[in-house]
Amino acid sequence: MSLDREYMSRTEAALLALAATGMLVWYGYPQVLFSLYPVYEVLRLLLPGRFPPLAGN
Amino acid sequence: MYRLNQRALADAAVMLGLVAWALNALLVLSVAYLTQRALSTGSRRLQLVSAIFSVILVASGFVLLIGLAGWLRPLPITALSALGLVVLLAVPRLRAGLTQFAPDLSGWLKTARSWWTSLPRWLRNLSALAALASAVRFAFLIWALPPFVWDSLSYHLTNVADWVQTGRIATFDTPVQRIFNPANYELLATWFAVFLHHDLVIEAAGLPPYALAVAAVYAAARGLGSSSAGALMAGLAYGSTPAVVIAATGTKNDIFMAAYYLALLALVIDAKRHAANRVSPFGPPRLVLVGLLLLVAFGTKTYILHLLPGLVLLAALGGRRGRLAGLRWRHLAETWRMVRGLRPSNRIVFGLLGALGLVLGFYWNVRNMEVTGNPFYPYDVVIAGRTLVEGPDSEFRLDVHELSLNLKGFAAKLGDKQDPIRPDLPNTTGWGWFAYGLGVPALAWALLRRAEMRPVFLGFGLSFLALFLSAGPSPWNMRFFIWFPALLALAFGLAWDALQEDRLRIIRLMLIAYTIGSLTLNFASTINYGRVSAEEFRSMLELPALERHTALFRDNMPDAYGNALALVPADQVLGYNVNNNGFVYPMFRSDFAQRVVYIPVTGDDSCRAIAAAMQARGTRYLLVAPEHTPDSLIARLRSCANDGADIRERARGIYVTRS
Repeated sequence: MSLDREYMSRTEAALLALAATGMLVWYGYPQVLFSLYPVYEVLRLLLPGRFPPLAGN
Repeated sequence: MYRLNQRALADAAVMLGLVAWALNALLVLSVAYLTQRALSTGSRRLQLVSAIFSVILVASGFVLLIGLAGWLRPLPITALSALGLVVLLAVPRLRAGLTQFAPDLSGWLKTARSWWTSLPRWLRNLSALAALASAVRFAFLIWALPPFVWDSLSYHLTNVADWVQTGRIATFDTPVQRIFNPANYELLATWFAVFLHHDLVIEAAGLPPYALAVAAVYAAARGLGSSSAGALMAGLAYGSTPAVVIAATGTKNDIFMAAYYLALLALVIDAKRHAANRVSPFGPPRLVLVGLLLLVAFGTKTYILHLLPGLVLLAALGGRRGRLAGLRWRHLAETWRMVRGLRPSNRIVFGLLGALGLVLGFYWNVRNMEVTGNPFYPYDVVIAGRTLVEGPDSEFRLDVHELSLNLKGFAAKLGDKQDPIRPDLPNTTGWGWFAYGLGVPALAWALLRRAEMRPVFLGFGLSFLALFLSAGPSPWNMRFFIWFPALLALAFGLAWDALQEDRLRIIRLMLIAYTIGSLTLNFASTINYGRVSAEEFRSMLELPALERHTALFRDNMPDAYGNALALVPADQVLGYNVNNNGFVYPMFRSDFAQRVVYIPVTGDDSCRAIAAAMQARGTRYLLVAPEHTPDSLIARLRSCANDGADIRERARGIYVTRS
């Protein structure tokens, strides 16, 4: 296998980056809210009384 | 004064337990070190895999053997540990093996140092930060929260509590039939509970398999041809997967199954690499290691049988050329010739390890056969609509209809759109930001550009489909698939290496940013298991560490369990009645002090008959709880309490006989 084939072409790399961007955007909603909820609870734990509980808790 | 003395006694018991634990850990680690030497495959990248597995194997085997003998208490274990260490030092061959530890460690540290310095600085910093953050998260959650995941409270930890309390591994009388499931996970959990006689650190039993899974992904990535940096990124990616991280301290056995599957994957890939280099791929140690992994996995959860065809396909695929060659029967014939040429001492070692593997692999099924007449109790075995073995629960089957339903369910769970990622993975895959964001595009690229990735994909795919042929359709069944994101991580490892050229610097920087962001969000989503509120944390942290009982953790706990803890003296027997999915473990208390007995009554029984059943089993107390106990029995008990002749209600869910 030649060295060139070991690496991505610019087009391949750009497509990979584009696909990654698209997948992150697609995955992001509503996961970004779900992923930040634990951080919110940790803040509520560390700073009692500063932040209200979320509905359902 | 009395309370002070009790406190001093408790502290002394903890100190003695720690001493006993340290002594036993020394024995387990020594034997595991010798085992790892015996199982050495000659491949450095597999050394860590076989070392971690050896620790799990030896600790689990030790607990099973002494548990069956009825010596599962700190004092007998301490005596046996001391005796074991004396034997290790007295037998010249074993002592000689142990003396290799210092030079081995020194060589390993030298290799680790040069490996570490060969990595790019940003990756070193990211890895160190990820390791530190993970260690803090694991330590905090283990210390702060008691076990709380559903199945572990109904049967996994019920086994552990009964064994630790009685000092013996035996069957426990309960309506939760799944307590008959293979229980190798529970053996290691017992090792983390028996010395302190407490469940304070029981969640840590999932950390060795977590480490094994991550090490196996690294080894598999290296076997596929990834650089150290690419393989480390694959390991980091898989190790950050929310479903995997949550499972690690979730007191269930899925993390073990993922670890064994991925360790087998790494071994198969390494063997294929040997075959491609015309080196015999299966020396006897490698064959024994594969056999032990399969046996220990079978004794953990039977679905290793469903995963196996994928590994066999991966082993067989591939021509003679390229990085990975297909394995053939002649390779096994070569191995057989090597086995026949083994020295007698090696035969004894492999024979002993094989015997231990057979016990760990089949003990639970043999016991079930003996006790119930069905080795797979409580499951029946249905293949293509034909019942081969009868059981009360229909879950062990191979059926195309199941596959179709499961694939539909999987399609709905893709992208984790429906729910946060929580233990048991309700309505989600739990694969997280990295797997979807970077893993999926990397897999598409790798399938097009890396021939060695295609058999791996087909192997994972076949394991995936075979398990979906059998797993019952449910919102929670993706917990059986937490090994799958490793495929995406491996693909990313290969893709990363293909970006290492100056002209691709901008895209590389972009993907580094995505990687850091994905790992951070994966980490964030697991800090509280996706569900534990600040109030729930606070309610536990306000208690002394040794008094954080599961019964008090309000996340999913009916009032009755906390009431039993408050009202039933620890030296009294507590009766209970739950359905076949009800909580049993919380009644034992975190120090396993409460004796617990099942009261087999129904809503059709008279109040007098219920009271008589309680008295016959040596208790005045009966715990029932909504969603855990049949409604008809709860209604009957309420009417008995109103009637007031035989039974009264002491508190919500706690009934007491009047005598």
